[in-house]
Amino acid sequence: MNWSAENLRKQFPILQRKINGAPLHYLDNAATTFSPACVLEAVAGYENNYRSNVQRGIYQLGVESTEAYENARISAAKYLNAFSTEEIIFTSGTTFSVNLVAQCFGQSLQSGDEIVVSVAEHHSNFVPWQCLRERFGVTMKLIPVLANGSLDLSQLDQLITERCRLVAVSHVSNVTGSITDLETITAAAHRHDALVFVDGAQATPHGPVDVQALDVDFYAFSGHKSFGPTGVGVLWGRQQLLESLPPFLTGGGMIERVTADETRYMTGNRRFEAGTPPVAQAIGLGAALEWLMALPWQEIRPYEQKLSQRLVKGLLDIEGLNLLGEHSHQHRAPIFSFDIEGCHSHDICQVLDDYGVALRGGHHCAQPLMDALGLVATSRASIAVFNNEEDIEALLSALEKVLEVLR
Amino acid sequence: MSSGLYDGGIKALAASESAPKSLPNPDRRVSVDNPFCGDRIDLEVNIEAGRVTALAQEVRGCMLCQASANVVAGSAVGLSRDEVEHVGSKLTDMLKGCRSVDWPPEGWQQLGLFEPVARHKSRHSCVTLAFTALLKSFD
Repeated sequence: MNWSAENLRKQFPILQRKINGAPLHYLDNAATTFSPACVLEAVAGYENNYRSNVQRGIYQLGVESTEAYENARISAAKYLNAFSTEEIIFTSGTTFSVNLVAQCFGQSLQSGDEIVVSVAEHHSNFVPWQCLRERFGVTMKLIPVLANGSLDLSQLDQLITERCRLVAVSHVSNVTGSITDLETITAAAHRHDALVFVDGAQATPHGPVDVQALDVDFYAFSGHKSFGPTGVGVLWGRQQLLESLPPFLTGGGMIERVTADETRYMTGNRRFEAGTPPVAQAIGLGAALEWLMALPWQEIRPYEQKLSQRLVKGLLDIEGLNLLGEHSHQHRAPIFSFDIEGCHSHDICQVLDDYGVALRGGHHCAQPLMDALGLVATSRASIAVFNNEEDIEALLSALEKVLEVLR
Repeated sequence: MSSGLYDGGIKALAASESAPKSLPNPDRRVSVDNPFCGDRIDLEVNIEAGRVTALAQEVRGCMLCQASANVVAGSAVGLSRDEVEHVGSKLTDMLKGCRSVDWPPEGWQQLGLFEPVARHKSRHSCVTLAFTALLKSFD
């Protein structure tokens, strides 16, 4: 493929927008990224041509929507290298997926059982496990972080013991961009027959994932961070595990038979897709994943690294700036959080917006990590495949203006 | 555009700590958070006969939050709950674009510095958090 960022940018209509008269320099992709035209067309195609419910109607539209929906499931299975499409559950997003596993798996837990979570997790992969502690008396142990916010795995053997039932970690930190050493964590967990749940929300935007090679047990990601629509996500789980879990939500679409006395549930993924699923969104996500799979990642990864290197160099030149995460680019995704002495991230992001630069400021739904690092908030720049050098230079140049205004 | 938000007035207010960080024997301690951005105000107050007699605070927040908290702290002593609520609602009205004829309220001229914030809806709660904290201390 003849790939270039400039050609790729033409596929994103939203990049034509001006903000305060300036070109849009969108660097908040870790929160939500944009959809290319093929995704927008896939959603519009459903809405305009065959909008109907799935797995119900025998008429033409229903057949077409069901086929498109199930094709999206095939795309998700391919993207994750799942063993089978039966392992793919469409949810509303990663938060829903974590809650599904926490609530369903949680029912098998007993007081004294242990869950291990890292202190760096997004709240969506922290609070649902914390709730199990309150509900079932489960002990929640925390993997600590190093001073730069990366996970400190030096005490893993003390944290993951025979009482551990599940370890929940992110594949890539939404704050530091650090890539978690899943191999070490999974080996430690499986030594004690504990399961491994991975929040992959920040990993899937940067290329296909191989859950078989990772040897994890559950993997979740969100559509809107992976160039798909909002309101949809994927939960992958080993089929044997999914079969062992009780349903999460109940209702239509997930039953084999309902009588006045009892209900018999479906097996497989559909047991976890009660009600009308997010059909348009899933079809859009399927298009996004096909689009991602067609990209030449062997060329894109060095390109993302080049942008990252320029950004890191520029950031480190700023006096009083503390960049979280590893400064090496080998073990991180292009997500960069920083703190500037004397400047609050919301004030920084407010002024950056004057120059069309969109950054996220705040605690990034990771308050335990902020507490561990003694921070209130950070500014975060997150790079997607459509970003270019102009975006990075615009950020660095606007940061100079920010300091003039705020200091 | 952020022009007006970070002009000299608000910057100076944010930098001017108008209250100690703690009281020797506080009657009430409250902690309020802005879940949107993580701004936090830890407040200690003494209240006698329904009026604030002493206040201390620790503010971890943006410049707007710091500035607003310093305005509130500078005027809090002697206020009743109703008075705090009255000024807070005037501030909220101003931010929503419904400025009353008596804006800014008497004795609260510095709140006029926050008028440019009205254009930035995502920042309103940064300015109102200090009033939320003080009101909570009366509960």
